[in-house]
Amino acid sequence: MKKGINLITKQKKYLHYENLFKTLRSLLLVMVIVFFVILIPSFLTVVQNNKKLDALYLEKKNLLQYLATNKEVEAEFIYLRNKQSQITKVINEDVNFLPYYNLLTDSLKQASPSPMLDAIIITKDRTINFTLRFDDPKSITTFLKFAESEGFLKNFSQLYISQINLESKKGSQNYQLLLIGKLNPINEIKN
Amino acid sequence: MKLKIDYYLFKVAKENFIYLVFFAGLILIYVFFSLTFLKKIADASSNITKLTKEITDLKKKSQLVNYKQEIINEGIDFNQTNKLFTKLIPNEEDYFSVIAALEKISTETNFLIINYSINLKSSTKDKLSLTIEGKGDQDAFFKFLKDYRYLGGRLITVDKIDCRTTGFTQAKLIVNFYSGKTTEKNLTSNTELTEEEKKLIKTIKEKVSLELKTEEASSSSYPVKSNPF
Repeated sequence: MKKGINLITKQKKYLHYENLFKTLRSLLLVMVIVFFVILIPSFLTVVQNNKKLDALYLEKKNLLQYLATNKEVEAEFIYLRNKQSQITKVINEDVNFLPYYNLLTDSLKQASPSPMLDAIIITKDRTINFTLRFDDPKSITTFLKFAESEGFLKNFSQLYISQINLESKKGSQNYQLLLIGKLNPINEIKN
Repeated sequence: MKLKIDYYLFKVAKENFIYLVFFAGLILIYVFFSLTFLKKIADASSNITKLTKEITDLKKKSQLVNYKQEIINEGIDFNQTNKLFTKLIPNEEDYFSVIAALEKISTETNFLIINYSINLKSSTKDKLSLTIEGKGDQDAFFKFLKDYRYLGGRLITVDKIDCRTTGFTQAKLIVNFYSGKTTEKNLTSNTELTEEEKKLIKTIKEKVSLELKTEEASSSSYPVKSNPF
């Protein structure tokens, strides 16, 4: 016996299923479009990435081979860099006496009358200790005025008189000033 | 209980069978894509980034070979410079070279070093501190001050100078000699030397003489048998 569907009585239910499958067909269309828009380019990207990776691995291999044949150059340069940084570090610890000595003597020449530099001690932290000798007590007073001028004081971050010697023996006079201070870094003074 | 067949649904599904199969197939492809392709793309991207960085570093290192040649043309040879640097700061302290350095400075500058003593308190494993006393005229003392760093063939720094400037008869100095290895194994700093660094190397080259003992020079000129029998 052939079975039939009574569309007059069950039309609503049939239409509901029809609509459901209509939506499915539309969804399928969207999925196919998405497949072409996203999936295929993605697949191509994977293929391209693999090609790129192969090329990079080959380049790395070649470079490693090249470096293996010239490995001593890298070792030499690392050693050079290390020793050089060691030397640079050490040089920075030097007292750098001569420029500071010249700076002081040049400054003293500007004083009138200019005193004699009798003795000098400079340490690596730029602490300076120097003795000046004068012909007479008046020169000391004149020098002290000069010592307070900006031109002389710019060389020092601090400076004070530690000792004044006013000895007068038979035939010889000894007028001395002992100054202690801290020099400014030479590049700062020049600037 | 008898299973009731929904003929409406069955009929519509039968009519759309091909779409259902297609839908299921696409869902499978999407799942497969999500699980494999996306992971592959992400892995490949991170590998490409990693490899590119590695290659950049390797290229930088390989450029050193060309740079070595380039710098030789400017008068700086890595190998020779290393020998000079090692002479200035040996990897292990060599007391004879300290004495030789003081003697050489003394002879070359005419600033006579008449006495020296080791400062045990301020000496360390990598630094030998000495107090030296010297005498000479102003010119000798100034020449000494100009050249003491490299002239003796050992790097010398001065911590303190104490001198009587009247007549420059005598001066007392605290000097340091250095030794020791550096531990850095990788090339961290710039691969090319700056102009300042080149200048320093050239200054050292000018001031320090390097007696290179080549294999030819040290080898004997007469034939030698390794097996006497």
